[in-house]
Amino acid sequence: MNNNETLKKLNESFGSYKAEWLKNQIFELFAEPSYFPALQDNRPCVLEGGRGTGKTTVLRGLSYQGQFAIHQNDIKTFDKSNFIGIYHRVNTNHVRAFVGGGLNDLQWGKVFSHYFNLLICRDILIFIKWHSNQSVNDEQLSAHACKLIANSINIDDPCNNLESLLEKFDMSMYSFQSEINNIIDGKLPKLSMAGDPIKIITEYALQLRQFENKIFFILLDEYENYENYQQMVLNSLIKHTTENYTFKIGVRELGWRVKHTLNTSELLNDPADYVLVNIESKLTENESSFSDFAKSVCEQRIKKILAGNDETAITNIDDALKGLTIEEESALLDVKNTTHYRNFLSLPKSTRNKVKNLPELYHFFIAYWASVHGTTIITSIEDYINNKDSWDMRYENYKYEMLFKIRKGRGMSGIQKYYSGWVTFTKLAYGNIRYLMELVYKAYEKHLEDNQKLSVAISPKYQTLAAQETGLKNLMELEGLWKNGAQLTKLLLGLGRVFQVLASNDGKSAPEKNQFTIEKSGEVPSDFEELMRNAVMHLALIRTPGNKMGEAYSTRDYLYMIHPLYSAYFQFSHRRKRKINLKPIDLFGMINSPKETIKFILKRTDINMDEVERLPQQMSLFENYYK
Amino acid sequence: MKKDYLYTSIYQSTSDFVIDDDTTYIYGISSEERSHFVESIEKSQFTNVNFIKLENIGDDKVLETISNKEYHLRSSTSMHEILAKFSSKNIYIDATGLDNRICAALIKNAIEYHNNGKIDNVKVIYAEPALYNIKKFKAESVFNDLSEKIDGISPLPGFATIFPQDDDEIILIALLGFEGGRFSHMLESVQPPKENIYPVIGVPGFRPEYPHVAYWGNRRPLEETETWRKIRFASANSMVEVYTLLSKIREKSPNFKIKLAPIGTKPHAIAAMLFAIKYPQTVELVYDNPKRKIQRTEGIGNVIECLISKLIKEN
Repeated sequence: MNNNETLKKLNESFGSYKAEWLKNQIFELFAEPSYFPALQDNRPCVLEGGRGTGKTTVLRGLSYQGQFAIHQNDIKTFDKSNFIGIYHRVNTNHVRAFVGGGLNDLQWGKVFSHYFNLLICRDILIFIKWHSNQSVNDEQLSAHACKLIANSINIDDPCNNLESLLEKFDMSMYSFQSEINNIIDGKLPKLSMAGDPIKIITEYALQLRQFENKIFFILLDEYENYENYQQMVLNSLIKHTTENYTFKIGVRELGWRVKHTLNTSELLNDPADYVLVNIESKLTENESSFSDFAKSVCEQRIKKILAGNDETAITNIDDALKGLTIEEESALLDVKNTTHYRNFLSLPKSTRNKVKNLPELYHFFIAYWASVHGTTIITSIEDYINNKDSWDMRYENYKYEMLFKIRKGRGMSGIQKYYSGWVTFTKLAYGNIRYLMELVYKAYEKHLEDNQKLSVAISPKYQTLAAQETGLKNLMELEGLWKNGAQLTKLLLGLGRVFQVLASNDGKSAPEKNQFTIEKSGEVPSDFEELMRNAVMHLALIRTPGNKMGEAYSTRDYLYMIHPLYSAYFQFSHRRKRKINLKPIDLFGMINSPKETIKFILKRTDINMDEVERLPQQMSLFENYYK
Repeated sequence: MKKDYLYTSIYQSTSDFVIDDDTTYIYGISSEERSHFVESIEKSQFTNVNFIKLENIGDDKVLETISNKEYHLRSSTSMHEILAKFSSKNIYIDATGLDNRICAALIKNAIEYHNNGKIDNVKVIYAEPALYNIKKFKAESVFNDLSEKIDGISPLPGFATIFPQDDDEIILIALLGFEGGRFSHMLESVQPPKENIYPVIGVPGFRPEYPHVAYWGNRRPLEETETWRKIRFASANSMVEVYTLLSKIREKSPNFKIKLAPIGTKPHAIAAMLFAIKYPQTVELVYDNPKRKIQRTEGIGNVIECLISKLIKEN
């Protein structure tokens, strides 16, 4: 296989990193995450995770179409499963039809409930029809059941069998659509009670012998697309599910905005009313869970598609994406060719010999420390000899940060900081399988375009360039994710520059400052909460609970960080370490007057922007923003 | 074969522009200079032409400025009242200063009114800008878009569809403008399979360099979805060309539902509306409701007149 063919295979195996691009292949390449079994019990479940964490893949895996494909399209095996998944992706364009037009939320709630009944009942009817096409001996819905179902949703026309019932549902849906389009004219059909038709249809469906002892899973994906009042309507249904059906919800973090039912004092609680599965938390709660899951996803694709018959190909992802130790990286960054290191070399040999067994990066660090603390290198070496333990601890704390100071500034060509190795890639992805696949895809692409073989490990250089490009690509995509998406791009450009300067600039401050908290005092712009919610929901930022969480959590109780995916592009540490404090107005300042705000924030940390190196080369694309 | 000449007239100067006898001419004024052209033409030359000026008062309502009466865009009864006000044979909808929400409601109801035999002709008028303010946009940046921001995806009045489709069986046709962010937003919302995306760029553009600007603005989503190879072209000012192109795409994929994103020029958006009216069960408009910058164009270019009632009937 030549490299052009391999590149095509790469595209096939890793290029379709969005569930919607995979179409039916989604089930062939399905890898079960560790939390998958937890989703299969009868309780309502909320699957929470950012874009690309695999919610759609998992929910579609639970759908009857997914289960059928996973069970090799064998209806007998499929029938052994104890649930029937009805998948529905919430379509913004459809649910936004139930807004405005002079109706209030209460009135719309009744109309929307009827729509939801129509939608889910129709999907269940389609499933029953699908099943009978696969299995000729299916028991059919009785004429009585069909009449009752039709009656429950206020279809008056006679329907005695499944076919006619489905036809009437379609007609009912179209006439309902026409009425929604002329909502002001007030010609609404007779509406059905929230959830009633679903109760009736699931009850009758499960009485059919082929579905005995099963339960329907109503799988609602992209729950965040519902309007607030619509979430209230559905929350009521979730709270009051029957033994015949339950809900499995896919939602982005903070996308479930309203947690109460139509009765505002009735809250949905975890675990009394539903089980919450936060994908990022599940996959990042220990070192190995995300890595193991991601490895199974990637290695399956490498073996099945990418490597094909190439027996020499490296199929172990750890070996294909080799990492560097901190000292190896410093050598690759040419630490010997730095001012600090040359200053060290200028010392008499006898002095240098006192620390000759230390790594070059340690020599660099001693010289750096002396420089920022206004002392001599000789004094620092003497201090090292007298206080080895404390120096070793200090070096341990600072050595990763030192890497950012070796080749800083645009004047230095080439890579200024490496991001390589499978472990680093999983940390950059932070529990997000789509990000991880993008990183792996880009790294392989660069490797293959350079005519390298699959039997050779991908170089740290190509891994780093892949990480930078993936960061940039997703940074640019933020604009399209939310109606004010450009605000998120600007926010990250500002924060990214701040953390990049903090990492590369010489100074006395603590190393690896890459998180921030929001100060609780001071002015709070009115749309601050919306900005932060969307920044987290669309993975511009990640948040973790702060140390002192009150009972009623607020936006400002959390600790925030730019999503680690962007760290290679901006060049700061992807490891969650130390924090700085920001004010709400600082964040808006980065959007509206970035240059002044960045300067002001850095000044608070004793950094004078006039002395700061220019933008790193890869950030020059956004020069206009920083001017 | 190009069919423009069958349905379209182009006036190179506003002074050449004529309005048929027995016409109700509906228009609005925006912040753009070109939307004022109808108020500057000499009206005494026309016979039995009645003008209705509409003002957008928000919440899908318009105000008829002479009678000071409010009309609802989401009510056929209300829209028919405007159209029937002077019982004219012809309805002209001047889209230049009316936003797409108002145009959508007027066009949908005017075509319905025409189909019911109540009027003879429906024409859309559109004055091109002399130029767009795209100097800044040409420099690399995502922030100099023509729209300050969008209100988000929400159906145009009269075009709400609620019928669910299988995501694998849809085609997304995006009628592109300069703003790649809007295309990305559509992709994120519609989530079509990559191979089912058809981007359309206005070629020729209002000015020779505009297609390049459209490519530049949309290059990232085009690259990401690998749809740059599949771009189709239709003249930026031609409703007919876009309508014909949409028909061809539909013929090639008759079993697919079409999601149509009119995020480019107004003539393209109007063609999209007509296409959705023609095929209500298979075509869904997806619109992101941009909030326009105060002054995004300058001057007046050609004035385009398109007989849409004939176009939709014959094609």
